[in-house]
Amino acid sequence: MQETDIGTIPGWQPLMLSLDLPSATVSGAQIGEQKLAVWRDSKGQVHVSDDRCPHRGMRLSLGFVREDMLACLYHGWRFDEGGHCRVIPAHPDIRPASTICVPVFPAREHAGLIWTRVDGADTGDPPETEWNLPETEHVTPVRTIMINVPLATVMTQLGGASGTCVRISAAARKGPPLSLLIVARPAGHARTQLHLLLEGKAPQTLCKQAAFWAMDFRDATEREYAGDGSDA
Amino acid sequence: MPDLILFDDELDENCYRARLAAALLNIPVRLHAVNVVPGSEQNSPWFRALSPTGRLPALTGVTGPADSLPAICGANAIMRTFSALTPDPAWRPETPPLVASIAHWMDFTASSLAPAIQLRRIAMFGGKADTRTLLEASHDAFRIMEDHMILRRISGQQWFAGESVTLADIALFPTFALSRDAGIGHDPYPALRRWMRNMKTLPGFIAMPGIPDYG
Repeated sequence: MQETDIGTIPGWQPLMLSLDLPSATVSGAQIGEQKLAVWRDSKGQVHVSDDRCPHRGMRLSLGFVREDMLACLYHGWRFDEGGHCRVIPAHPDIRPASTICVPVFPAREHAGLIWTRVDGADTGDPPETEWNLPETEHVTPVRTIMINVPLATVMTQLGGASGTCVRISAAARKGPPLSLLIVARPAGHARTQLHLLLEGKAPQTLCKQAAFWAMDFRDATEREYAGDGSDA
Repeated sequence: MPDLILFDDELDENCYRARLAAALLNIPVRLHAVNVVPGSEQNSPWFRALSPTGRLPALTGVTGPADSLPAICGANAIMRTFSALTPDPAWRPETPPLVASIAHWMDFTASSLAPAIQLRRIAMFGGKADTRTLLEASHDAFRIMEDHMILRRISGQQWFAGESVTLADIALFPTFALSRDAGIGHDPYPALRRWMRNMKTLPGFIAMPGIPDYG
């Protein structure tokens, strides 16, 4: 996978931990060049759309969720789960034309993660098959962590795995080794986003150790990468 | 309660710290607007008599006439003053680990968040500095905060120190909430986003320009 893909990246992509998107909130995400607004309605359903209001081009991910619609911060235009504009506050009596809409993308939640795909496909294998993931109830999400190092370098540090979803046994600061499931994605230039999960139903103490491991791994990987750069 | 006057600049985040603390700790204050941009009123003789370094926010009305202090200056000093004045003892924790933790994060605000505060000031009002270095230092500071709040979340806690909101949260909040003014988005900091939302739901919470009170 390239560091900065210009074209459309195929297949399901992990965006964030499910727990990091509470009900009635919106967050931004990006796959390649495609900027996304990811939001959860009050019923818990996740929706993904293009991150651009058709009115003035404002980023919808800076907006808010009202009455199970994504509202733009700028002028309050609201878009439903299908991307159709339903409310224009400046014209409360007018029903917005059906042509006013934002492109939407399929959303799934699996293994404690929110997934989407921007390649136009909405059929095919679900993310768990594509990424060879265990069942949802068999993982405990720990955190997402950003590492300022290219994906290939991070994967080498993780043991030379060729894919971007790896299972490793990692030494904890304290206690038994950790059975980690790591889903990695490139995040812009020379940056990598790791979603870190523990296999099985892990207690708080293990989650804490896994969070420590993530910080230690990030800091060591960044130090090493910076060292390489200055030697070159 | 003495008659308190808070010398204030609405767009200054340190003044917002003091206003937010007054609102959350239920301290009545009268606001006196100081025209910083474009008036540079903080350098005028009358204000320098109150705040010798020209620093905002500044608070009068606490110390007696016999006291030599012209005013209480600076956000941290004013927040601590409010915690001494509030009738709610929850804002004056006494257990040493909690006192220490609050002191730690208030010092972090004044030191490690200084680059992010400066970066926003330059983005909003102009000025010269090495913004690239400031940006890196800002991200470093937010990363430390995010790491902390990840561990807090795993421990079942939602505030920076202790089991309920403290001055540490009020001190830290404005810089992260306003970071978009300085070009730093919130997306890479999910734990801080969650904490920011919790802050906005506190009874008495007030916003400022750049911080929507919803979301």
